[in-house]
Amino acid sequence: MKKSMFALFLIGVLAFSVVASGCIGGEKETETKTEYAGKIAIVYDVGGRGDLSFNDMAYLGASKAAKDFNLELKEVQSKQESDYLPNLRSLAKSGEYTIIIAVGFMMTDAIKQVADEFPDQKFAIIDGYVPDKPNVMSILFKENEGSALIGALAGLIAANDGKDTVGVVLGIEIPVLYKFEGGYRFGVAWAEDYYKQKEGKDVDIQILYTYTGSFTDPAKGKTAAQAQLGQGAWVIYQVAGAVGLGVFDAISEYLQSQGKEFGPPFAVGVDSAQDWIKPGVIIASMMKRVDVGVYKAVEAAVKGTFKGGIVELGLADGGVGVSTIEDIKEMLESLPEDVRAKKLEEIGVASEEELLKKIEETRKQVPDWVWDAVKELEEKIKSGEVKVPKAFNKDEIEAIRKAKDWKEMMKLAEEWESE
Amino acid sequence: MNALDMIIFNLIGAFTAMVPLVLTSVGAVVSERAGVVNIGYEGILLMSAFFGAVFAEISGSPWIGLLGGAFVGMLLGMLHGAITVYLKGDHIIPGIGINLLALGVVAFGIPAVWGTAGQHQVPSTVRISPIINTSYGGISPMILITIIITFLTHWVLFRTPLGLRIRSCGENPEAADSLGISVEKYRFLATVYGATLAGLGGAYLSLDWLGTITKELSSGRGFIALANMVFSGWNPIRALIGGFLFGFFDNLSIWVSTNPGVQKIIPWQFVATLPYLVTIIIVAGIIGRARPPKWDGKPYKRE
Repeated sequence: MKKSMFALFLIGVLAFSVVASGCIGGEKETETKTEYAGKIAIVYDVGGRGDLSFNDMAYLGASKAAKDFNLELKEVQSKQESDYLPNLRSLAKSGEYTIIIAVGFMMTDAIKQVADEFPDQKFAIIDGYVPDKPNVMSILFKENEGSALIGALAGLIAANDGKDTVGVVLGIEIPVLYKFEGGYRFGVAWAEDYYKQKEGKDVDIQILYTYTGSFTDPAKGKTAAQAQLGQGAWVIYQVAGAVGLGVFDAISEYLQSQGKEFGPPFAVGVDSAQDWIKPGVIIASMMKRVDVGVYKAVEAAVKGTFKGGIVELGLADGGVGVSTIEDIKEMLESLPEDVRAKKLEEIGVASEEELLKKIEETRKQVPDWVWDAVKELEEKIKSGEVKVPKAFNKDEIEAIRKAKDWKEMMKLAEEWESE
Repeated sequence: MNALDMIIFNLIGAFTAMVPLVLTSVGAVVSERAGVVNIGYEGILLMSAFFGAVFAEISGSPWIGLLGGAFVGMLLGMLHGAITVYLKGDHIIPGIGINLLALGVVAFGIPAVWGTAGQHQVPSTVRISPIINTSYGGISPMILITIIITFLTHWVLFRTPLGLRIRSCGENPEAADSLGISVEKYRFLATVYGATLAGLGGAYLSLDWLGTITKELSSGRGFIALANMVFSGWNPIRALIGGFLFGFFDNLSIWVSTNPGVQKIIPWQFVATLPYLVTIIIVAGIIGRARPPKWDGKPYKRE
């Protein structure tokens, strides 16, 4: 008797969970009836819309392109990794789409396969490396350039406050992260030189760096940030996905213990404009402009300039950069109304204006000349006057770590480029 | 580097990191002392971290959130207990099921509840406030609660008739049964107790220590806690020491590997293995060979 009751109960639980998962994870399709010049499709990875990062930014770019070129936008959500292939394949099979965009490097293998099956269909992949297919455009970003600006910002904030240490908390030690670390180092070295010329004082800023070995455990980030704060870090750049949430929390707690609402010490966000997560704590973010990448891919497909292979977007193309108040506003406005209201409530502000005001005030904690200096470096990198080294393996990052100043690092950059 | 800073930082860090590990280990000790193996603690930690945040935000109180997390742990413990104790099922498979279920529930739950995928920040109003806020991090009241729970559990397990009955179910359920002890009841309650403590530890992750909920927040702590339980020889106080040591060396390794002087000499990957090595050596070194309860993990069916 007892057993059959349990069995019934378990069947009930099972049935409920099947129904529930069906309700929550339904494939989202948007269709409206208007006259369009064509159709484009975008496939999100498992992160999905609402991640306030990659996928939401991809949507921003795609919807802007759809509006500008009068295209119909079809969005496809991927519930799990095994959905990538069927999603891409069914879109390609219909043959209706000018271009199909896959968001995220996790779709690299799926794109490769589908691109072979449908050689006439144009594809683009964000952050995935597919160099040798004529119908796949791989859009990558020069994170080293964006990180250099962050390094300059961090270095100058520290120098301005008479401190000598900045930090960076990274995820698993993989080659992509060397790009970030190398760029950051370059920026800090540039800041040392800039400060010396401006104030006539020598500064020697040391960089604490921690590879936490994880992208998912916020505790690791929190501990690493606390260790760096304890050793004097004045600005900490997080390049570690969810681990970085711990970095923000550590600095926020540190400020609380000092009774301060605003840094320094500051944290720096990564990938999207993360400033809103903890206003007062996060001074800026290194943005990978996924929206720009998506827009460029659609533009190329529509205007007939589409070419397979690698497209690397740097500062000059607007592919990376330091987050601005505008970016944060745009991100907030792309959210559905109810989600936005909920986020604002969670942060503890009454309205969007109040949040933006608080972020502006955070930025005012840093003198204008520092922001101007970062702008100056940005212009120099854009014009090609300054070159940021791109480390891609252990030897290269070691060479950057050993380099004495930014000029030496630039020499490395030129060497590697000519190879 | 200031040596005193380093010691204070690592002590606070160790106490902070120890809470979820020790709560889970102590819960697992009780459960296994009664003879029920549960490898689902990883999933319980994750799910109660999630539901703890949900309860806290609905009620507006972090303490109700903690209790809510413990409650979810209790429900999952009852599920595991029902399958293993009353239905005489395998002890490992339901645990795997709970771990997988947690991955799904939390990954879908975050966007369903908060509208954002992947991560959610717990508002500071529903986070447990520390007793003292230092620049090395806050000292949570949960540290004290964890220590009290550990000593209380130890006392009950080894100094009271109730503890004797629980242990007899794991050592020799036939003898216990012949003395009129309801083996099923004690095993079930011990399993539920273990899962409830893990639930408390999970809610601590999101509501106290980290203030965030992500898809993989538990990050293997459930399994580390199980290992800690084994190395401590199924003894709550030793599990407390083991958890503290692990937390201490985990912090120390991050501190040391962040230091530029050390980085030049020792690769961080090596330093990162230290907490595991040192904890194993110390805890296992003290107690020697670990002997599990004789009927650990075996379903008991009256002949």
